Amino acid sequence: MEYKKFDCNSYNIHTIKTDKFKTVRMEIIFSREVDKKEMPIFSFLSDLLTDCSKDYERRKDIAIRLEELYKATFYGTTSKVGNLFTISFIMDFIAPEYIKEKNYLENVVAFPFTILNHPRVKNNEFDLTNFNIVKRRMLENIVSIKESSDRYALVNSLDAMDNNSATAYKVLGTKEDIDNITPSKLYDYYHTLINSSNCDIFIIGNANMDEIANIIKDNFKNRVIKLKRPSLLVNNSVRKKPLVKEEKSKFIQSTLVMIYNIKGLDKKEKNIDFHVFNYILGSGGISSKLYQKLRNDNSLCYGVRSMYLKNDELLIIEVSLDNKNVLLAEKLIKKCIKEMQDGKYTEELVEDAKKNLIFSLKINSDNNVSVLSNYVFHIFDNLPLLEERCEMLKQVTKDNLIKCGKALNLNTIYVQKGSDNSEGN
Amino acid sequence: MKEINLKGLNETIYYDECNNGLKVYMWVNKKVNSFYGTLSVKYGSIYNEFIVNNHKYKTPRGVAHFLEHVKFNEDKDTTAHDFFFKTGCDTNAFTTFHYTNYQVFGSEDAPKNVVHLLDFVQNDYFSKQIVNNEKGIIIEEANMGEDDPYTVMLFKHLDNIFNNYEHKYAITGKKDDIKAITLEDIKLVFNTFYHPENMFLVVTGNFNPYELMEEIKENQDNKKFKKYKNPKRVIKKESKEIAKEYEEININVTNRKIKIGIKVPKKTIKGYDDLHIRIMLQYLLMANFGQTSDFRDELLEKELINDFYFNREIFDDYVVITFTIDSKYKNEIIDLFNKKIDNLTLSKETFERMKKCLLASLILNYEDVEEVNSMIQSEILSYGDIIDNIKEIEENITYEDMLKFMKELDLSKRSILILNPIEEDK
Repeated sequence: MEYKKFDCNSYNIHTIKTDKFKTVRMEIIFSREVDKKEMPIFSFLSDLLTDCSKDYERRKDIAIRLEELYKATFYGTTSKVGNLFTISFIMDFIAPEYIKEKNYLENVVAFPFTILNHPRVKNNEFDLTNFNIVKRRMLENIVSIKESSDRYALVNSLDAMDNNSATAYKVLGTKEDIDNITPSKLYDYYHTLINSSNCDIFIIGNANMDEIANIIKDNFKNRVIKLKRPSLLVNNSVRKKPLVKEEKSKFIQSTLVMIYNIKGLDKKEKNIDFHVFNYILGSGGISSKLYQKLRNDNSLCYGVRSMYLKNDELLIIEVSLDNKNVLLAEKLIKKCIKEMQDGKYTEELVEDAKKNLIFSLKINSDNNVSVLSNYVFHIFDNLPLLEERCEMLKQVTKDNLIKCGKALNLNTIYVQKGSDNSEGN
Repeated sequence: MKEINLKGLNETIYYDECNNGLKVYMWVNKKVNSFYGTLSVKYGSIYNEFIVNNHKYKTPRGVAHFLEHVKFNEDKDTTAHDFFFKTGCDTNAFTTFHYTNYQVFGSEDAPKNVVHLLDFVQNDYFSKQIVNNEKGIIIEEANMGEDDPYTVMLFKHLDNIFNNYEHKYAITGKKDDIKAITLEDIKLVFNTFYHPENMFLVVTGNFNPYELMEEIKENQDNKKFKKYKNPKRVIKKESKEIAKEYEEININVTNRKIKIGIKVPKKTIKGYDDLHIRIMLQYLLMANFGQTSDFRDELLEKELINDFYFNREIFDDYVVITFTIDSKYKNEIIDLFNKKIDNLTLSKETFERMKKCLLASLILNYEDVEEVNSMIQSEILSYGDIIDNIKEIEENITYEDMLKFMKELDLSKRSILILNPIEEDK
């Protein structure tokens, strides 16, 4: 893979040339510091901007054009990683080597900029028809979280932990946030997005990257501001005594969420060692400690999740199960954590976990989205590239993992209580 | 070893068969680091009644899925997960109506890991204790399904479409079915269906197909299998009538959902095989209801829907077309969809544009090792073999063929399911 950077003054183009994939992926990423009020507005904007434009007034018109471009896909999305908020516009298209049509590359690369540069706006506000379509979709996405027991429990547990923490902020916001957005306000934020946000464009695939960079430069101009990239770290405070909260729900199963702070680890420990720690604890699937204790030894659940939020310095363990087993599960999770802190696992297990993570990284390199994402965080946060991470993983020792364990402090125990009408096992 | 060249796509599938009847399909991509091996057993959740040598067997619902769970135990203390954890591979499995699929996904030593996939699936170790321990886990999995409104919605929909087909029942079985499953049931279905003649192996990714095949053949030749019993699934007679034409239920959805199902007897579209039915229906549905359709656009602009999606699936002798619509306005929506379904159209321009997409789709189908693997599985299960001229088949479908197909479709048997948010229950 050949990486190349094109500095275009107010934005950068990063290209990764490889013949591994038949698809070319282009991500236009605007980035800002997390802001609770701004995130729902930009999320609305990213959806609306890919739903219509001056030349393509309806989503249908965009869809027809994408079919003409050999079934290309184009969409907008927002996400929050720690304290970094990104608004991305993503275009996937078939590599030019397969298409004989004249000007194909120029047409397909220019398309997203045609849309972004020319929104469907009249009298300084977005068209109301498109606005309302997107608004309904946003509201539906916001409320639909209540349909999923684990997602709902996760969001509520973070709110319980600290609703003023960036970790708990919702990218889509609330119904009230969306109701407060108007077509003219949204157009103001369009200018903020284009003129006052960091912008990086990443492209991966088999194409002439110099030619692509030139097409982009021709189609994306007049940006003036370049800001300092924000730090990704969210400083979640530690509790002396864990918060315990229980809420009723209409689900059959109960969901237990346990949130741990991770404090005092350096960059390498966070980027590398903690992944090995978490693999042995719970993210390593059915062979992990949590699965063994909760599922295999006690038949309490179908699955258990152990999520490491590196930039939020949190470890979150989540399990759905019969209400009568919640206390036992909590006890077993604490026991697993204790065993991890005390190093109660073999050196062999550590070596196997490292090997598995290295294999996973190798498999990731077969996926254009994963490779591109790795480059994004390499640029944004100095995350080592896949090959370097493989080498660093090999150096991890059991002592490193014990240190990871000692960095944990239980912050919150949250129970979303099921309806209790299950007969149990 | 046979090389199947996919015409017009510059792709090759390697095919071979072991002495015991196990069929092996391989697709090689030297540019990737990974390999993906899947062993499929043609035995799924709808096989709970079957006949062997004129003797009819009936097992509790959910046995196929239960067997999938306990199959990972290799002996009292060892599971397949232990082996694959050591070799750095991921392993998993799933059960559908029609088959059970076991997978291994890794980046090194494909032969060793694929052979172990065969070993653990073909291993006949089961115990009462393992069966009893697994019940609690599977009951929690079934509870997860009951907590998921989309799973509930799917099975309620199929329940309303079909009178007798087993597809109307949850793949996991209900709690009582799971509790009723015994060690004897597990052994019975394993001994009946888990035979190499009733399995096929698909391996995709970076490996040497000749080396792999040699290892597979050696492994299979060293195992003894009893004669294949050739079990026949009991397919209950299903009338063309809809089981329930209209139902409203209250469920944990935040916005009302409307499901419209159309039951089309395959015998009413004679002259079309399953492959043509799938392709031509897809064209027709995309043109009338897809992202580029006027119908969808109008519903969105009139604020009648948030969104909707559709699919078409073949269940034995019937094709079922399903629309799932997110809308508050049930009466208007049912009326508009009914009118649209009664008046399907297809312009030549739209048809030609969709065919232009075909080339890209067929090329991109052969990119991801997992997707290629699933596509091969799907072809074997649906058509019994690899379709080596898919591009030609799709290119040969003309606009006139489509118009004829549209005329012959009988879309009159419809079922409506309304899912209201629980709040409306009050």
